[in-house]
Amino acid sequence: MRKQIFAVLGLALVATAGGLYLTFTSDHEQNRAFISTVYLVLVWAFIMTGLVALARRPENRFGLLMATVGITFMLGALSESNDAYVFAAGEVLSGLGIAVFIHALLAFPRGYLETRIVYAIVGAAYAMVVGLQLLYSVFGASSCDGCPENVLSVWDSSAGRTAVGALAVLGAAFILGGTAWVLTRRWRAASRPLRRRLAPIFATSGATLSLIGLAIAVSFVSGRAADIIWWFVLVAFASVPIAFLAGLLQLRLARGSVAPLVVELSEAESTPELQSAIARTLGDPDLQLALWLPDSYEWIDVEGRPFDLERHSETEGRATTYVEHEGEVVAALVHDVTLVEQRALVEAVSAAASLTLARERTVQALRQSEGRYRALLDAVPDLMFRLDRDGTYLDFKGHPNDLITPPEELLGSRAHDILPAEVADTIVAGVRSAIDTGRLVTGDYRISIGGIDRDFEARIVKDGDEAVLIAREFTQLKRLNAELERERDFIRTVVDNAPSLFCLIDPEGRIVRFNQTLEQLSGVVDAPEVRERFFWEVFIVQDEAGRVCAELQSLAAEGAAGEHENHWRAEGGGEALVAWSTTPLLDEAGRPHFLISGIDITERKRNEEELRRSRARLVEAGDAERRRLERNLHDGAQQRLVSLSLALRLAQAKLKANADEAGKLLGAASDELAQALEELRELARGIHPAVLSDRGLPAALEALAGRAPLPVDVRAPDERLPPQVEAAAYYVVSEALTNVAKYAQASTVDVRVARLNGRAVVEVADDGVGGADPLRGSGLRGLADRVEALDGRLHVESVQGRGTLIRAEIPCV
Amino acid sequence: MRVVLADDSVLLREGVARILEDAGFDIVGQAGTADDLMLKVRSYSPDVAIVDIRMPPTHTDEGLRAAQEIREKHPGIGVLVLSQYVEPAYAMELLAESAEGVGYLLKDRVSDVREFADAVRRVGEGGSALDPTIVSQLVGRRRRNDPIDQLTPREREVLGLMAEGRSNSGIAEQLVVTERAVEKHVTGIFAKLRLPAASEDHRRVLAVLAYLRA
Repeated sequence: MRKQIFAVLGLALVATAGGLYLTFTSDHEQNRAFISTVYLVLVWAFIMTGLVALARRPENRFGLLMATVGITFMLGALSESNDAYVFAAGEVLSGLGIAVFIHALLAFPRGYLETRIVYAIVGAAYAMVVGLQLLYSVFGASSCDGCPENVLSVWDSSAGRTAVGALAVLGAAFILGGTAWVLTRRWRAASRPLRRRLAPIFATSGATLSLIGLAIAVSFVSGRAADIIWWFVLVAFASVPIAFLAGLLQLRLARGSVAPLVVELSEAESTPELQSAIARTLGDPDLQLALWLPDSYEWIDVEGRPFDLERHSETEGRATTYVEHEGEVVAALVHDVTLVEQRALVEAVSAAASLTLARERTVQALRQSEGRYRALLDAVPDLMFRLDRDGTYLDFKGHPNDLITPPEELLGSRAHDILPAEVADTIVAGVRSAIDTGRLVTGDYRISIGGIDRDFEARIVKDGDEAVLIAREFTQLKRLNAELERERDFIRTVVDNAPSLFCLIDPEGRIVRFNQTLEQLSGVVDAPEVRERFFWEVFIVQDEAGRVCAELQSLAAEGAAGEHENHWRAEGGGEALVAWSTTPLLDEAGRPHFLISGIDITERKRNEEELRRSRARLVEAGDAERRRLERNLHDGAQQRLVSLSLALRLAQAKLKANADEAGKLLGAASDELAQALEELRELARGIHPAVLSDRGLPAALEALAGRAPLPVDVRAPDERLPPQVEAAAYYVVSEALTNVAKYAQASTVDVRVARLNGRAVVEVADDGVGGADPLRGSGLRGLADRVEALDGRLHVESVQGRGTLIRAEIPCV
Repeated sequence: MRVVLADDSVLLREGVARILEDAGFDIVGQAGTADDLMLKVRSYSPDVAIVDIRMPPTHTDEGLRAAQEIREKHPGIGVLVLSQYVEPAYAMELLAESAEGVGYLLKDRVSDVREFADAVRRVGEGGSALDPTIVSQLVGRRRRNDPIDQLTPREREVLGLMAEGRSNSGIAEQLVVTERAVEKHVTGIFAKLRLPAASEDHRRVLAVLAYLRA
């Protein structure tokens, strides 16, 4: 950067020295002192300005252009030379400074040309000032008095000179008009700070160019007037760098206004105020202030809204300056890009604002986090109360429906004034404990709100000298839990009390758990040491364990279910026949398990066996009865009838020969016949007593009692019972009486028949020796079969020496 | 004496009719069913109706029910029920309220013509005839603290014959003793059983039976 400055300075000094030398040695210059002064002032105004600009912002070529304007202007001094060739060059290059000036003006403030039209204008300016001057000389423009000869003159033509003059006017009009147009547009588009920067340059340059235009226009009317205007052009021209320098000076002065800003900034009560104060100071009303919140890692604007710094920074014509405080970014200013020129000012403002901004940022961060927490609190359905250590309500948040009293009554009231004493005690104790220990205190309580019992879980935390109580309702949850618990208890009760045997096993066949029924059957208690063992090992008898193991393993592999019957181990080394099946089941964790459910069918099997035997006995008894009948008929009535037949034949044969003998024979036959009849009658009664079906139990039992060899007291209801019940009851009594007569040595027998709860109860009680074996002989056994065939029960009670009671209960269906 | 016979067995009916005709009875009608019996009874107004207990259609106790009906509707007509079985229950039903003009005999009794004819005549004359088997069952039935045990064997015989419906003369004839002796026995029996004395035979039967059944 310095090198550049020194190079420019060196070049300028050389050019100035050369120019001054030529001027003072010039033969044709009358006003040597004046011209030298003009050169020195004008040229060095530009050069110095350019150097200052270059020093401030070396990257901006505007400074270089300004210096170049000065140096090229110095080229005009070549025309002071006494040498004809140097003089000619001086003449041709005398206007070059104007072109460079236009170049610099159109490149202001960025230092480079932007659009094609600007390039065109600048290009035209260079072409015109050099080209037309050259052409003018070629057409033999006359040299001034005492000037060296025009060595460039090729074709002395007055018409050519006039044409070039016209071209010059046209070109000047185009260049000046174009420049004015570009500058006007640029001015319109400029922001306020930019305009402030543009204003001095544009004003002086505009004046210069306007005067040039005027001078050209006037020169057609009066050369003298034009000369006067040219002098003004020079003055205006010289004022351009002065205006530029004045602009810079203004920036320096603006920096001085930072001091009152600090006061203003510190007095700003809000961030919007701060923003407008900074905007005012920097002269950029569009300035935006963004605050950096490191906690939430975001930018916010002065209203606290999120701010897209990146987007705003990249907007055309905007630039960003970061404000730091104690080495930390606290804010950013998004401002007009021209303010970059005034970095010092911006930095001074930033520094002044940083303190306030840091403070403001903290406030904003707090406000924002408060807002967030408030939003969070609002979203939480819990009730919140602030209480002091006496249990006085200071504040609350929540829905009034969840309060026991209207909200306006709540605040200022004490817990004991509102809540049931028990609940208030709990809460106040919790509040004190929380305040004293600083620890979180939890508890739950139930209160009745609007007649409905509601459960709350309270969490109490210390907050300074006060406590915050957060109450969350869990009535529903509690109810659900209670329901679940009840449901679980119910299922447990069902499972434990069901007559079924339940055992849950895992896929390998290990016991997971089993129910009480199985505990009772097996005598094994459901304990951890049992749970890891194999099902078959624990519950199945040794002989069948292998088969069950295989079945369960194939079940786990193939998922095939089935009904099984096996002997399970029963308590005390016994066995129980169990019918069981398996059901696939997922446990709580979703793992596949199998539920083995079984029913102890030992008893049923036994009953089935007993039933089978009983049926067989009934059939056998029927057969035996038929055999007895056949034998009785064969041995009794049949025999008698045969002998009767013989007697009748005999009587018939002897009727004539010996009437007396025949009469005796007939008498004997008649007796034989009576015997046969009697036997047949008894036989028939044995098969079925007619009176039983005709007249019912009392009559039939009376008849039985009448034939018994000992006193029999009969009491039976007159109502008729189902025929099969009557028959069974009749035979029970008949058989019992027979047994009494045979074995009991009893003196009396009581026969009672009663209908009780839909059952016929038949009792035959004697006062004999007792000690009867219920299963003795086929008689009682047959009776039992007959009674059980009707779903009845035969019960024999026969204690030695205390008589015998036979009791039959037969359902009357 | 006019007799109507009812039995579904024609053979038996004709046999009985022959026996009774031989014994001097006038068989005015024979019936095979209970309905027919009722018709014959109403038509011929017999002195006595002899009825088999089992008749169509159910062969259970149609005869018994017909007998009850006759006694109800025609109190003047004696009814003698014949049965294949000895059922005290049936006898008691027939004799429940009155022993006047009623009898219940085992069918076997027909073969003893003299006894049978006697029984028919007794019933026809308003007396009663109860089969000895039933009587012996009733008398022989064992009771606790049985007063019958206090009776002499002769008195027991007399009790049984009284129960059969026989008159004093009938009893005397049966036992081959004087009527005086019978009367003395009867008085002794009534005293021992603490029964009120009854003059008419059929009332006496009722009293005795009531006692025996108790």
